[in-house]
Amino acid sequence: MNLDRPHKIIIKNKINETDYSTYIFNVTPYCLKIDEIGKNFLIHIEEEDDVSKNNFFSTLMHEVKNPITAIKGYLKLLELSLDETDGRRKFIYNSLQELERIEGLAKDILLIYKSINCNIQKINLKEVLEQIFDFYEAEMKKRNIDYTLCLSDDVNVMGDRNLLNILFANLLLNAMDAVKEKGFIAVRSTPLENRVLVEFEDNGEGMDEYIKSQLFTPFFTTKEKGTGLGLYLCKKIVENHGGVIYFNSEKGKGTVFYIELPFVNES
Amino acid sequence: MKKGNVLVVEDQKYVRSLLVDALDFFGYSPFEAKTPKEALSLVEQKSVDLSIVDFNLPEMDGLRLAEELWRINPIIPVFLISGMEEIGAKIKEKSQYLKGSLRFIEKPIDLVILKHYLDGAMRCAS
Repeated sequence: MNLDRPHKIIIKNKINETDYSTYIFNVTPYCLKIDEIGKNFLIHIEEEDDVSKNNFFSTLMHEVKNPITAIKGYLKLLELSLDETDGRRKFIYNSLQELERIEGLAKDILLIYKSINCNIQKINLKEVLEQIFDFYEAEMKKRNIDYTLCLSDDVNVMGDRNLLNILFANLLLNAMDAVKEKGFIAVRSTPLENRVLVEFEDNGEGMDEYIKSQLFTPFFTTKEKGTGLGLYLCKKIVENHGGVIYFNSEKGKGTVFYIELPFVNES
Repeated sequence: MKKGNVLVVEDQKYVRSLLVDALDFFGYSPFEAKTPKEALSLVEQKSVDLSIVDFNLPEMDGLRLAEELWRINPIIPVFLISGMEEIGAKIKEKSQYLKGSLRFIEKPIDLVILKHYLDGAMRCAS
């Protein structure tokens, strides 16, 4: 969230499962103490310009999916019509791979614009991280990757569950790609004075100076199938939660990502 | 011998053509409609075993059309398709209470998965 500009604060009072009464007022974000808002409220914090931008990108990305569906579908039908040994299958395979890249880009761009529009609620960080590791456990086992989780209980942050899932899943997938043989990933969460520190450590190949300098640059990627938007999206998500993300990486030794997020004051 | 009659309701020309061609390729008899009005008229005239419906349609959304289709034929399974994930979450929640009658498929559609779902739904129906 950019604190230099006024925001539209939308507070929706939850009346029942589906209906909300909505209050919209323009304030600077400094005066909103999110942790004092009860669980029956939904809060959306939007910069004025982002409201229409968000809808625009959402519709644009939706429209892009229709032609992708048609092209991808017809390529698949062609592939299914050809004999298993037909050399032309490679042409179709390569086209499908590139279409998947366009699809990935469309998805990531939409997520970046969605990250502006947070649906804030109290989130237990341990629960979110454990769920993500459960989800990717089989894949890590397949790739012979060991991991440890050292997570503090009762560490809560105010955040958007979906966006925090995307943030931590992206960091985990990056770590999984970075480690090779005898891969090891460690995640720690530590409560600090008014924030929580989450560390994502891997013993992968690390990064050289040039890669480090470009890491959060949009569309910069070292992966063959990457969109170059993953870490840029992570940075946007963390910043929109009022936090910071930074890293330390040494070539041949590994990388640690640090994420600091504002802590929920229980008192 | 065709596996069954499938109605495609989609206002986007080439997505509709793709679904019709894919259904034919997979051994089904496809019917196509551009609008909910055309779809409802087709279901009244023909025997339809399953319907693939886009969520974003003119006149009414896909979920509303599904309900209208069930008023004519209460046992017709409906596959709702959309590129919007939020719609998917809403439909998945609803489909828990409508076991077998409603399924969400996200665009871009994977035709191999679509075939798998179609064959499964037809097996259940027979």
